[in-house]
Amino acid sequence: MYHPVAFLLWVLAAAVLALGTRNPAYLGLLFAAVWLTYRSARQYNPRSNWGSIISLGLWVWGITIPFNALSIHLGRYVLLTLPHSWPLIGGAITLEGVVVGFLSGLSLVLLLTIFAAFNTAIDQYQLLRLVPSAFYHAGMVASIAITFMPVMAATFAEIRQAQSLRGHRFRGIRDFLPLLSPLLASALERSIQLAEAMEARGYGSGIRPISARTNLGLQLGTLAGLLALIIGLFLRVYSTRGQGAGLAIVIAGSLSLVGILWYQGRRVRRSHFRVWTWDSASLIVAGSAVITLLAVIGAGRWSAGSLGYYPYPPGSLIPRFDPLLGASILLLAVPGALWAGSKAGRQSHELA
Amino acid sequence: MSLPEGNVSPPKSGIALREVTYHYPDSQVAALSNVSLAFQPGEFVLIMGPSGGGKSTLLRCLNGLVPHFYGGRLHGEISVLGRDPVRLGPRNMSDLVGFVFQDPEAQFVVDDVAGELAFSMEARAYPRSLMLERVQEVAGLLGIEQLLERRISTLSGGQRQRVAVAAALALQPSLLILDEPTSQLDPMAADELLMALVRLNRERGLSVFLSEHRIERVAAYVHRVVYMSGAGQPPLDGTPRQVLAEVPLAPPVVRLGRQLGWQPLPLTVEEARPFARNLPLPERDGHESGPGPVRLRAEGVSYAYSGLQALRGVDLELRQGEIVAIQGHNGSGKTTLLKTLLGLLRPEKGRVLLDGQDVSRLDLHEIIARVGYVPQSPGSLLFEDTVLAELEFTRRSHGLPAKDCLPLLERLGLAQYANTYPRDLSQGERQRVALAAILVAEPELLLLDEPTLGLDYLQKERLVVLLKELRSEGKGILIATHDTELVASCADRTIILQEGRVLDSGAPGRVMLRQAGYASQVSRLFEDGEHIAVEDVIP
Repeated sequence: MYHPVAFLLWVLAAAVLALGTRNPAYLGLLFAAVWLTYRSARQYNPRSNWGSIISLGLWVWGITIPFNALSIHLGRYVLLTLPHSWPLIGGAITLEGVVVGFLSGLSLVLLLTIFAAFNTAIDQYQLLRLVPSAFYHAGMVASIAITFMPVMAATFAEIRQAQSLRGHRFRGIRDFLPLLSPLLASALERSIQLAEAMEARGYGSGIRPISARTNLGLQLGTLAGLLALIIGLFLRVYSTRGQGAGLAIVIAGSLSLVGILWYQGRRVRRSHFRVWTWDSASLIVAGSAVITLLAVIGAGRWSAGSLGYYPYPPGSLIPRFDPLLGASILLLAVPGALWAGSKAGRQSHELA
Repeated sequence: MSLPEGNVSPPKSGIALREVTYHYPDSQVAALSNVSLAFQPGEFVLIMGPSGGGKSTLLRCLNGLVPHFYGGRLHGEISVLGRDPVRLGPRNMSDLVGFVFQDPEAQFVVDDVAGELAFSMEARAYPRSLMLERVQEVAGLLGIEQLLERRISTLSGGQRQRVAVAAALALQPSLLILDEPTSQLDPMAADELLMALVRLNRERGLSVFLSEHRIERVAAYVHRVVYMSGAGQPPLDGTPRQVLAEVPLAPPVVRLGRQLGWQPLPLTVEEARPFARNLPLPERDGHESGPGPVRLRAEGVSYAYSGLQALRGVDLELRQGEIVAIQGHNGSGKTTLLKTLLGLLRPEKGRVLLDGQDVSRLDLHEIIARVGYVPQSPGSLLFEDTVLAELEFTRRSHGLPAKDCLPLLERLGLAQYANTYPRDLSQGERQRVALAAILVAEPELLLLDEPTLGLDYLQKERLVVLLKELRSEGKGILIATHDTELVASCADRTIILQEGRVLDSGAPGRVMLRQAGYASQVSRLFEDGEHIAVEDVIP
C-alpha cells in the first residue's frame, strides 16, 4: 500500500484535472489512468461497495447526453431536427450538443471513479491518523460516517428487497416511507450501538480533562480569534486606510486560533499502531502526482486554451492537444501500474 | 439460592451488586429490582432468562454503561474488582472490564484486524512496542494470528466475533462480559468461541460473564448461573444444576432429565448417557413428509457475487405440507439460496420452478402471491405506527381486500400489542410481528431466514407449534437456520450447505447421525436417527 499522503496527492491531481478541463483528449487519458488505478485497487479490496455508486454515475451519464442534446440547439453539425413547436426540446439536435453532454457525464463518472479508487485503496482510519490531534473527535466522526456509507447502502438494498417481497411497489415519493423509516431507524440503532461500544472500549480516555473555567476560556478565545479574523479581513478588503491594522488583526487572530488548537492537541494523548513509511513506490506515486498537478496548473495559467474546450461555434469540435500535458496526465496511471506489476498486489489479492 | 437482600459481603477484589434497582429513562417499570449478587474473581457466570428479563441491563451495570450511557435512575451499590462503575463510568472501567456485544459488526471502528485490536490501546496512548506485543498476544489467545492483516469485511461471522473478543482483551481486563455472543454464529463457530472463552477462564483466571439464550451450548462450562426472570422478581443464583432444575428455560437434555427424574440432573449429553442407555423409547410418531405435490424446485442452481461463488449446483424441493430446513456455516449460501428461490437473484446455471413455472419468467407479484418471505431482520419490514397497521399495509400492497387481522394476531400471541409501535417490542415479538405481516397475505409457501435469532426457549417453542400448525394446514415451509434444536423439533427434511454445495440432505435424524456438527442434543444422546427432540422421547 502507498502512503496515504501520496494517494491524497494523486486524488488532488486527478480531481483538479477532472474539474478543470472539458477537453475530451485529456479526459479520455485521465479516465484510462483512473480506471486502471481503480481496477488495481479492487484487487486489494475486492468487496469494496463502490461498484454500485459508479453504476449510478454511469446511469446519470446516460441521462446527461440526451438531456444536453435535447436542451441545447447550437452547433454546425445537425443530426436531426425536432419540430420547433415542441416546447423546450424542439429544434436542431447537434453533434456538438451530444459531445458536450457526453463530456459532462464523463466528468461526473471520473470524479466518482477517482473517489472510488481512493476509498477502495485507503482505509479511512489511515486518513484519521493524518488529522491533527486537536481535530481528533471531528476526524473520528468523519471516519465513521464514511465507513457507514457502504453499510447503509447494503441495508437500503436489504430493506427495499424485503418491502418488495411484501408486495410493496415503489412508484411515488410517498411510497418511499416503508423504505426510509426502517433505514433511519436502523442507522440510529447502529450509531447508538457503535457509540456504546466505543465508550466501553475507553474511547476518549486519553483526553486530559480540564476545568470548566479553562474550557470557557478556550471557547471565548476561539470566538475572539474568529472575530479578529473576520474584522481584519473586512478592514483589508473594504478599508483603504486600515490595511496595516487589518493585517495586524488577522495575524493576531490567526495566532490565537493556532495557539488554542495547539493547546487542545496537547490535551489528547494517543499513540499510533500503524506507522506509515515513505517507501520508494509511495515516493514515485507522490512525485508523479505532483508533476501532473504542476503541469495542469501550468497549462491553466499559461496556455488556458489547451485545457479549455468549446465545440459550439465559433469554437472547434476538434480539441487541441499538448503532448507534454498528455504525457503528464498518463503519470496518474502510476499507482495502478505499480500495483498491477508488483508481487505485493498479487499477494494482497490472495490475502483478501 | 437467591441471595438474601443486603447480605452481600464479597472480598474487595470480587464483584458485588447490593440492592440495585434501575429504571430506564421515562420508564415506570424497573429493569432491575432490588438485585443483590456477589461473585468471586475467576468465575465463569452465565446470565440467562427470558427476553426483557434484565440480562443485558445487569451486564451493562458492571462496566458503568448503565447508567452513564443510558441515563435513567439507579439505586444501590455496585463494586467490580475494587472499583465503582457507577462513579467512574465505562471509559474508566475499560481497562478492567472488556465488553463484547451481540453484533460484532456494530462494534468495529477500524476495517483491519490488527488496527481494530489496537484501537483501545491507541486511545490510551500505549507505546507502539507494547501494542505490537499485545496484538500478537491476544491474537494468539483467540487463534486469529493468521487474520491480523485481513480486512474485517472479508471475515466470516465466527472470525469476526473472535476478533471482537480479542479486541476486548487488548487492555488485559480482569473481567470479560459478552452479551449473547453466539446468537449469530453457526454451531461450529459458536463452539470454537466458547472453547476459547473456557481456555481464557481456566488458564488465565479471567472472570467471564456471558448472557445467552442457547443454554445447551454453555451449561457445561460455567461455574454459576444467574436467572433473570424480570417482572420485579429477584434473580435466581446458583450452580448450573441448581438453577436449571428450577427454571422454565432449560436445554433439551436438562428437560429430559427433569421430566424423567434423572439424578444428579445431567447438564451435558455425556452426563445423560448412563441414564439414557436402558431407557425404553416410544415409537416415533413423526410427521411423514411428501404427501403434497412439489411446489418449489431448484435444479442445479449456481450463483456468484462479483466472482465469489455462493451456490454451486444446488438441488432442492419443497412440497406442500412439509417443513424443510437449510443449514450450514455462516456464508455457506443459505440466504443466497432463499433469494434465488424467490427470483430476486437470477441463477447463472440451473433454474427455479414454482408450480412448474420458471420463476425468472414470472413477475415478482405472481411469485409473492404464492410465496411469503420473512427476512432475518424484522427491522427491515416494520415501519407503521401500530402492529395492526403493519398487517393492513401488507394486504393493501398485495391488492387484497381489507379483513379483520385480529384473529391472526391472537393466534400468534400478539393481540395485546395490536396498537403498539412495533419497534417498541422485544426481538422475539418483533419476529412474530414480521411473520404475521407476511402470513396475513395468506401465502401457500413460506420462506424464513433465521427465525429463532434472539428467541428464548419458550418463544421458540411457540414458534415450533405455529410452524407445525401451518404445515398441517398444507403450507410448505423452508427455514434457513443455525438452530439444530429447531430443526430437530419440526423439520421433515434438512439440507446442509457447505461452500454453496449440498453436503448432505435427508430426514433430520439421519443427517444428524452423519453430520455430528449439526446434531441436536437428544440425537447425540440416543444416536438412533429417530429420537432427536425431547418430544420424540416424551410425547
